[in-house]
Amino acid sequence: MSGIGPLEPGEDTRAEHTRAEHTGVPEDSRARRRRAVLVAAVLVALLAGAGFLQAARTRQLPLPAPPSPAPPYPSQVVDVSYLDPVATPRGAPPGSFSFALLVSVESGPPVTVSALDQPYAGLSVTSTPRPPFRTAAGTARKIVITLHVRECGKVPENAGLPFLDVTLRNTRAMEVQSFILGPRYAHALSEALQVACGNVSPSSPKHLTHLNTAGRVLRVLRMRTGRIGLNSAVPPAEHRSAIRRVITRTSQHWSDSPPRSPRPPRVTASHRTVGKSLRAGARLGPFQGGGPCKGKD
Amino acid sequence: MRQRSLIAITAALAAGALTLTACGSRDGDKNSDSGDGGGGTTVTIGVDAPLTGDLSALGLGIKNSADLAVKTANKKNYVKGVTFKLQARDDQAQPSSGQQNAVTFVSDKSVLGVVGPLNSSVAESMQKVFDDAKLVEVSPANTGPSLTQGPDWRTKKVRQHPSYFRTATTDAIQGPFAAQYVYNDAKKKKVFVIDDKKTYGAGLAGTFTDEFKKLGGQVVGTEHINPDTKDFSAVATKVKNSGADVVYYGGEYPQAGPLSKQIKAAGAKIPLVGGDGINDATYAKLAGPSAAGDLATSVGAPVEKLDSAKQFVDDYKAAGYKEEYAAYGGYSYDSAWAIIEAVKKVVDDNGGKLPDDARAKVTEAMAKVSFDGVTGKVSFDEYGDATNKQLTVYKVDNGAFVPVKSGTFTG
Repeated sequence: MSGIGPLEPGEDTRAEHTRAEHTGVPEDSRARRRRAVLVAAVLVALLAGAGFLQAARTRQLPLPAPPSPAPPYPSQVVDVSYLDPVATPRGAPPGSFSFALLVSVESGPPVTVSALDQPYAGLSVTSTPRPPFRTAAGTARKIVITLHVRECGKVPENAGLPFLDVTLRNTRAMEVQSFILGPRYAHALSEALQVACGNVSPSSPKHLTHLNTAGRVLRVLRMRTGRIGLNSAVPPAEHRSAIRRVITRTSQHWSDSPPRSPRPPRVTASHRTVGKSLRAGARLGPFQGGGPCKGKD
Repeated sequence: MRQRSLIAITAALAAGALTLTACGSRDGDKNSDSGDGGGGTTVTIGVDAPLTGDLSALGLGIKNSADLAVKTANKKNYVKGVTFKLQARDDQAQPSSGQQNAVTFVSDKSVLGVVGPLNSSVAESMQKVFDDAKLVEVSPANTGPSLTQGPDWRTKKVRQHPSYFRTATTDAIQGPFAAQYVYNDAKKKKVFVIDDKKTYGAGLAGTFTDEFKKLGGQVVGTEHINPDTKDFSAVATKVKNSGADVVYYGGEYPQAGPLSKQIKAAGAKIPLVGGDGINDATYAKLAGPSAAGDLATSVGAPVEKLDSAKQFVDDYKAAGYKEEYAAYGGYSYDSAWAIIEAVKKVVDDNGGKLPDDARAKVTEAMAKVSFDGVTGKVSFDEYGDATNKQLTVYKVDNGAFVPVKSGTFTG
């Protein structure tokens, strides 16, 4: 035995064999155990890895948050509808009349009404509340528009489908949308204009003398019907019709019948206000006499 | 063996684990392709439109859009147990062809609803045929008021045909809307009115004229044209000599384009205004560069303003149709979907299958249909008219119609 290093295993010899002999444990059993441990370790590692990956993915899900959809265009969620004629606000210029509208917002961010306009050159419009005003989604607000006749020659005699131009704004866009308020509004507007501008030359509202006071209309009515007096507590509906008939007969421009309302006109607070105003000789219906009608009998 | 088993189990578990991680979907598995509905019953939705001829640009848009609705319903398996099929027929914009198509649809028992037609005159010829068979018809494009409200619609509205519905709004609104814009916004006071003598054209010209006069405008001349010709030089000369500052034309783009061109060529440099029948890209091509400033009203809001339309536009592109969806695409999709909704209601109410009197039941259900469609909320009033009434004014700019003003009818 000279010290020349380990011997290579010879044919049919294995190094482990020598070690087994030293430990006294059978070789097959040790190998199987080692393989089992190895397989189990691989399995655990795989499962752990899979679990980690899945957990990582789950954690990452919220990171690329889907882009929130853009809010809707205001014109697609706003509705402006006609309600009724109403009493003209105190302080409105002569030759004015008023209507109540409902502005509602269906969904999305709040919508601001930035401006209200109407298309006829002879009219101007204001509203209460004054723009800008905001309406939240799922809510509706009542507003009152007051139209003022500036020049009778430039107002429609009997528009079939008049509209209002409303400037709407939300976080998506600002848009001008026309709202065609339907035949009831057309009827009410037409009636009010017929009364405000009457039967004389449409060139100037100052010629509208037959409407200068409600008292004048009542005098005519008394002559025609003999049934109405200034002491009437509340002028009933037929008297309102009679008032209109008187006005109509003196009008040269009522050539077409006004559009028919799909619903019978409702007796509203504004009509009752009209009655009181008539007694006071100050107002006629939802419109305000005087002003442009004064100056000529 | 034990060793092999362990390896096999490990492999299986590993594969399972990997599959678990690989298949975890972050988008809700949107790619599932249900293809057809896989149902046992086939329901046919008919389409009647001009698929050939001058108006085919509009007609093919109607057909493709209805086809997209059918494919979408099948893909979603929207009505359990029902597979929808589309059958399109060409009416060539002729009432007689439309009527023949209606008879054919009625004779096919699998047809439970029809989308179309484009032309009001064609609809008139079909309505009674469908009504007698209780077969529902939903038009995406008819605007003649009398189709739903009767010939005396101005004074007394009477529902004519219970099986007829439409998603487009009517000329009772479109004509006055155009008149208001022309008089108040465009500041035109003297109009020369021309129409093609057809139900749609003459009716629209009539509602425009009524409102224009009420507003204080003056009609300085009227003419009718023959839609079978393209030489309008005599009419153009009359327009030139009338002193009109605007022309209103009730009719469709195949005639409106050359008419506009010839009016300008005659020396009258005034805009031509028309309705939804001229609102197609073909108009500007036919009218040429001098059409800049011409106007058209059309039903609905511009598609780009409708978030509800975005999916439709994307899906239409993805579907690879060769033709544009054109002016009535969104309305056609909604018309077809209204039929699908009505069928769904009938099937759901009948324990998951179609009843024997399915056509009558579908017609009945249509009156109560309500859903958020491409063009907004889709439902019908007591006459069968759409409750969603929006209109838009378009102007020719750089050879194409661009929206300039929209309106909503809220009366």
